[in-house]
Formats: sequence, C-alpha cells, structure tokens
Amino acid sequence: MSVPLLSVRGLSVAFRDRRGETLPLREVSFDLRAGQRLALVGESGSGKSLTAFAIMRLIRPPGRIASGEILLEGRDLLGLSARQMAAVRGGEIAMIYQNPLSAMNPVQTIAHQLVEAIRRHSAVSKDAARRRAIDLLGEAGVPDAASRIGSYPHQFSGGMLQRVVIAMALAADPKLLIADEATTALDVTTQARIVDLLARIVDDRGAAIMFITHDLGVAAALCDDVQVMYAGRIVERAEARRFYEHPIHPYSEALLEAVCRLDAEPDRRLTAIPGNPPLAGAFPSGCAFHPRCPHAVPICAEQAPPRVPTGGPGWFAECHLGRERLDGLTLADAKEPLP
Amino acid sequence: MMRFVIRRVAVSVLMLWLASVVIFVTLRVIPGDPIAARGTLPGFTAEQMAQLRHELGLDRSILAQYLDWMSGVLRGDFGQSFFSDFSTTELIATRIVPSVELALMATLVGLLIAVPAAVAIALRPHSWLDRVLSSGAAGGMAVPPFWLGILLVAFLSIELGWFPTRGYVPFVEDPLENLRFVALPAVTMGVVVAAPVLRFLRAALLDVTRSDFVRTAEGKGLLWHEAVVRHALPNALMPTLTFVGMVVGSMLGGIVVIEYVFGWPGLGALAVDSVGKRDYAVLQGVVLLAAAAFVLTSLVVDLLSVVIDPRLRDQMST
Ligand SMILES: Nc1ncnc2c1ncn2[C@@H]1O[C@H](COP(=O)(O)OP(=O)(O)OP(=O)(O)O)[C@@H](O)[C@H]1O
Ligand SMILES: [Mg+2]
Repeated sequence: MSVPLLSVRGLSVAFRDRRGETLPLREVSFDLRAGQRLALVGESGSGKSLTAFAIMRLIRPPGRIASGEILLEGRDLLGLSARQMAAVRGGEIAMIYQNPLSAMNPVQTIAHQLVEAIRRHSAVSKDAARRRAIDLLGEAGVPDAASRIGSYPHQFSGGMLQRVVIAMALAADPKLLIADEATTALDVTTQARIVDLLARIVDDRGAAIMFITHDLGVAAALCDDVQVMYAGRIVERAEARRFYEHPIHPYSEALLEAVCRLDAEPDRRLTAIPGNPPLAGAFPSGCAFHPRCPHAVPICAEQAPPRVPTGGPGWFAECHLGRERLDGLTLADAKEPLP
Repeated sequence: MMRFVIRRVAVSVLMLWLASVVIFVTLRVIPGDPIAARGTLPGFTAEQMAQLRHELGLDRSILAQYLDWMSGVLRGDFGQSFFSDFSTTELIATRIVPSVELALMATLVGLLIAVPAAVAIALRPHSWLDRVLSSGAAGGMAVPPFWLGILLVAFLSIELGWFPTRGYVPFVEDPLENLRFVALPAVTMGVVVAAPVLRFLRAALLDVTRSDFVRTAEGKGLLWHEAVVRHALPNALMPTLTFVGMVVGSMLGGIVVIEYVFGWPGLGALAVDSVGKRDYAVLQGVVLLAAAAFVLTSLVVDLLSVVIDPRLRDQMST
C-alpha cells in the first residue's frame, strides 16, 4: 500500500501545571489517505482540538508534544526546523477555526490577511495575490468579494467570516484541511451551507479533510470515515455507514443513541450519556470509558483495551469486548446480509 | 465621526476651563501673595504695600481678577509678571520650546526603549531576558529621576566627557550641539517614561500573543517573531497608546526636577522660580499650560485611537 497522506503514530500531548503533568492526549495513532474525508467526533474535552493543533505543531506552552510521530507523506513533522514547519503550515496543511471572529486579526483588512497567507507560500506580486484572494473568496461563497475584500473582520457576519477563514485556508492549495468545529459557532442553516461548501471544495481540489465536530449528523453528511475520541484516545474508527449502522465500541453506541434521543426531545441537553466525560489527569484506569459503560466487565477497569481490527482499512475499536461485539455483528449479518 | 471629534474637543475645552478655575482659586487661597513673598522691604510702609497691592489689582474680588485674567488669556495675553519686565506671554514663549523639545525627545527615547524591550520579552516570555528587563522596569519606576540624572552626568559627562553637564543650545542655532545637550535629560526622562510603558506593553503583548488570531498567523505559515511583530504588536499598541498619553501627560511634573538638574531653560524651571515669588501671573500661565498639555495629549491620543482602530472608527460612525 502507498504511503498515507498523514500518519499519526503514538502522539501524546502533555500539559504541566502546579499539580504536575497531565496527558490529555495519549498515544493517538491513525492514518489519513490523500483526498479522504475523516470526521473526528467526541465529547467536549476529549482531545479533538489538541490532536489538530498537535498536527500543526501549534500546541502552546505549558503544553507540549510529549511523544510520537506525525508523518506527512512519510516525513516526520516533529523533526522539522521552525522554518520548514512554517512552510508546511498553511502550505500543505491548513486549518479552519472554530470561532472565525477571534481567528482573524481585528485591526487588519481581510485583503491584508489573505494576501499575507498567499504570498507566504508563493512568490507573487501584491496585485496578483489580491486577485487570487478575490477568487478564493468567490470560491468560498463570499458574494461581492472584490468590493468586500477591503473590509475588516467585524464588518462581516459569522457565517460570512467563516467563509473568509475557509478562503484563507485555501490560499496555498493545501493537501490537508483541518476544520476544527468550523460550523459550531454558526446557526443551523449557515452550518449546512458551510458543510456543503467544504464538501464541494475538497471534491474540486482533491484535498483531504479532517473534520472535527461533536455533531454526528454533520459528520455523516460530509465524511468517508468516522473516528471517535474519548479521554484523549481514539476508541473507534470505521467507514461512516458502517459506523452509524453498527458501532462496535459501547461509547460510539451511546453517542449514536444520544443523537437519536436528542432528535426526539425538543429540550436539547448534552447530558445524554449518563455521567460526565473524565478530565485529563483523572482518567479512569483500564478503559477510560468503563465507569460509564453499560457492558463493562471486571477486566475493563484493570487493563487497557486491545485495538481490535473491525474489518476495513484502518478500522478498529479499542474495547475488551470488541471481538465479541464484532462476532455478534457478523452473525447478525449472516442472517440478514447488508446490501 | 465628526460628531465624536466635536464632542471630544468640547470636553477638552471644558476640562481646560475647569483647570483654569482650580488653578486660579488655589493660588489665591494658599497663604501669601506676591507682596508678602518679598518680605518686609526696607523703606516700605504698610501703606505703600497696600498701595502696591492696589496697583497690581490684588485687592479686587477673586471673580473680578479671574475674569480679567481669563479675558487676557483668551487673547493670548497671560498678564504681566510682577517681578520681571517681560510679560508672562514672553516669558512662556522663550521657555516653551526647550520644554516641548525635552518632552518629545523623552517620549521618543521612552518608546525606543519600551517597545523593542516588550517585543523581545514577548518572543520568549518568562526567559532570563524577561526577568532582567522586567526588574529593570520595576527599578526604573522606583529610582527618583533626579538621581538617575545625576548618575548619568557623573559618568557620561564628568567621567567620560561625552556630553555637556548642563545647559541648552537652541536647535536653530546648532542642531548637533542641541542634540548633545538634550541627550542626557531626554534619556533621564525617557527612562521615567519607558519603565511604566514597558510594564504595560509587556502585559498587553503577553495577553495578545495568546489570542486566536496570533495562532492563525502562525497557522498560515508565519514564524513566531513575524506573528508577534505583525499581528500581536499592533493590537497590543492600541491600549498602550492611551497609557502612553497618560504617562506623558503626567511626565510634566517630573520635568520640573529634570530641568533643574540639567539647567534646562524650560517651563519647569520658570514654574519653580515663580512659586517662590508667588508670581501669580507667570505661575498661572505655566500651570495652565501644563494642564493644556495634558488635555491636548489625551485629546490627540483619543483621536489617534479612533483613526487607527477600525472597530472604534465604525462605532463612531454609527
Ligand atoms: N491550555 C491547557 N492547559 C491544560 N490543559 C489543557 C489545555 N488545553 C487543553 N487541555 C486539556 O486537553 C483536553 C482536551 O482539550 P481539547 O481542546 O482538545 O478538547 P476538544 O475535544 O477539542 O473539546 P471541545 O469540543 O470542547 O473543543 C482538555 O480537557 C484539557 O484537559
Ligand atoms: Mg475543541
């Protein structure tokens, strides 16, 4: 098999504070193929943003990457110099941020900030960069881009500004887009539009995308594969359809059930899964999900669960019951085969 | 926008007027007057002193004296010095240029120290450099300016002979000499300005460098120092501008001492002279001018903030 676009191996992120060191990201490993669309889902605090920022090497002190490899087309980003890494950022990997208003410099025009991003990665004149910026804004669905490019961030609505941020991410035609809750701050209609836009962009450009969200519906609409995070680890990865129909990990199952119940109840509360997600530094022993898991058996509290392959490329579930649950699934399949 | 400017200018004028009242009344209320300040002059009877007071108009009501003074000030006439043959306006006119020069140079020196130092800190916060510069700033705020001035004179003038110890040469006469003379007082005052500004800008920068948009800047491929200088610094400078305005405005107090130490023929020296003599007209004029400088500085700073901050600009126009 050819080298994946991105291969994350044993990535851990540590934070140091008064009480000592915590590991909110623990030995995360996964691959992403060129052009693939991967959803990264999980409750708040599970480490989704940390994964994204670690890949960009933008973890700020007191945090640091404690161990691991981040291979971009086989090249370890953690071994690059600051200058080489700067060429990767925005060049080969670009990020779309959760809060577009705080992600933009409030005292510089959109034009200034886009031109800066474009000229950073290609030697073009200011005028050419400006024309390209207008094209990118158009591609990202900003109407009237040529006249609005001189505006300041606060003069845009949230949805429009998210399009600007997307245009900025496209400046150097990156191979990988990382969208960290790119739609969370927006209202539902705008959310849907932005998701459509991202789908079209990655299609047109053949770029891969890592789409971080805690909205499983949005993940389903956009992505090929879904990857679930819990307590700083990836607990399951599978192709989207398979994931929605037959989640292997009990946590995935609980998440999906929570979504169904949320749809039913008009009074939406995100306490759909009993109990609270654990905090870094206080992760339960063994499988971190065991205190909340309806299927837990004694071993779950004692040993870290094995990574059980679940039948597809890169698919797995980290669960002591993974094998049995998978076998149960194949039995059910045998009786009632999937099309 | 225009409405904001007009309102802001109106407020400044009002503040100045209030200042003029306070200055005028305070001076009359504190004990002593120009005549008493001379002591009992030999050959002057109480009658003659009363006569003198009458001639100078000191026996009229405070309101009458104030209106008299104010109407003069509005025409640019600050009244007659009780002791000098020159009018207050002339006295002030000869002193204002050196003072303004010293204030501007001190501000410039202060910013040239504070801004690069704060940026250096922001590039590597909590490093040894940060510790050195931050304690330097704390020291700069604790050290009395005159003491620093004397130190500088002792080393750079007397020991090394690089700069004259005291005095002044007008810029128009000999620009180079002028700069040699202004160097030490400007550095002394500059440190007084730099210390608090450095502390303020450091805090502002450390705060701004943590913002999302600085990470965005890095995320599009800027190196850390580029992100700090191009994105964090302009944002941190906006609140600092207002602070600098306050520091420079209140610098006018410190300048009195520095002018004395360096024999700088500015308003500060003039003020000290006239306090001793209760030379009302001159003293009022100088203090009013100091108040005007403060009001003007904050006006300029406020208008400048609106000009450079697009968010404020938009707020003004709605
Ligand atoms: N600056 C920090 N200092 C200490 N711990 C941190 C810091 N930033 C993140 N963490 C730890 O990392 C964990 C994961 O954070 P992360 O931002 O990746 O969560 P997330 O999955 O993106 O959540 P959300 O959905 O709320 O964005 C947090 O729960 C916290 O324990
Ligand atoms: Mg997050």
